[in-house]
Amino acid sequence: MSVSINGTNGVTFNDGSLQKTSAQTGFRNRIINGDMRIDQRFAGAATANTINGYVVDRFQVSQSTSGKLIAQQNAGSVTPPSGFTNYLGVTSQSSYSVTSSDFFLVQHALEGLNISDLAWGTASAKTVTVSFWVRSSLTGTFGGSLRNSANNRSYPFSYSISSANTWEQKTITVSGDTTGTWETGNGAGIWLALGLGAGSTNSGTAGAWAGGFFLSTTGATSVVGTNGATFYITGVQLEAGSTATDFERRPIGTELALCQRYFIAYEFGTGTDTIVNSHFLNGNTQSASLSLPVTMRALPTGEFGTTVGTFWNATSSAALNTATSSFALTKYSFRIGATGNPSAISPAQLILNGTPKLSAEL
Amino acid sequence: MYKKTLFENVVRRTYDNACVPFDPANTDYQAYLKWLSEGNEPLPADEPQLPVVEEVAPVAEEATPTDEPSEG
Repeated sequence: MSVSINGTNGVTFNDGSLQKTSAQTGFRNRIINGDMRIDQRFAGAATANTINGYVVDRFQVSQSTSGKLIAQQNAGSVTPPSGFTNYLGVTSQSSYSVTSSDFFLVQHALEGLNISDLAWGTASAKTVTVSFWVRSSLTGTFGGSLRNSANNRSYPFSYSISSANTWEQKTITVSGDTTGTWETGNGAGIWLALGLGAGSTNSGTAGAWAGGFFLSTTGATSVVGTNGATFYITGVQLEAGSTATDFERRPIGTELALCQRYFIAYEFGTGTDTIVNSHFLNGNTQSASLSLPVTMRALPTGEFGTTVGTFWNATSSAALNTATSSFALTKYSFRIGATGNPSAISPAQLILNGTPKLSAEL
Repeated sequence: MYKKTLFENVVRRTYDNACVPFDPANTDYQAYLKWLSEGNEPLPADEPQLPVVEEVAPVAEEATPTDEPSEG
């Protein structure tokens, strides 16, 4: 048996397998849902061309001019890179010439609490390495950036795609920013952007920190510039150190819980599968609560729709009120109430229906 | 556009009827504050709707067995 040890590459065993250097254990990858497996909002369906927000969990598509892009998990149904089952696909809807202030991008926000150990904004700032798999119908030099939430510190970077419609893995190593203010609480700590077209105002010089707001690099390929152009991405990883290690694969339950800190989509359906006890509150409100599967990042915005539930008399099974009228939100639960006479009924229950959504996104 | 609710710490976003809580860390609340700073005012809250309550027929009391001997 032979084992070779190399200070740069790591340890190579006699079967050819490699234990890379700088291997960290546990939550190496600061990116959540980097393999694009979780898609609570769209469940694999395509977005409208007005998309300007999250698509698969934790990844959003932003467009300064609406109607230029659509996005979808596994768009185009191509074979993902080996070891992956999903990717985020973006498709250009026109041949659009960006103006100086335009921006089109895929981006991901890392919460400050998850990057505070990188010590950015101090003399001890740590180097990070971003890696991802990308496939495009276009070739050329593409751009992206890392930036802070105040939008006054940016590191534009470039990478090249040499073969059209071919998965290629890219690696960008960035020395940590020793200046600027970097959020270390529950706000956005680092924004990772991958440009799909950016005007001159939003484009900077690759490979250096700059005191401004840059999303891409000057002269980068514009995906929105070609009608039907595609840009697919998966295996996104941001880790401490100067080496891109293998993509960190986490159990699906763990990854979903990480996503649910920012967004939860319920599917209660139309039947009576989910019933919670309801109580008489403050003399005039029938009120029921449901605990959330995880503690959310902040008090979430609640999209409850019009048919979230129905209060019933638990003894007679008679409907008390077909309309829920008030909602209270915490990081741990949401409460639904119906104000008025139903409060007189006890015991009561609330049958939950519909597809309420809770968002505490960055 | 936003509308007040019966809760003092939640506002409704009218385009999707979402409930936005007053949490400085919530980005939708940050957008609401920006909207307010531009001189906008939320709509007043809806009046509480009195729901229709279905009358529940009283349940007849069941006869209870007794150990008392019957007279007769």
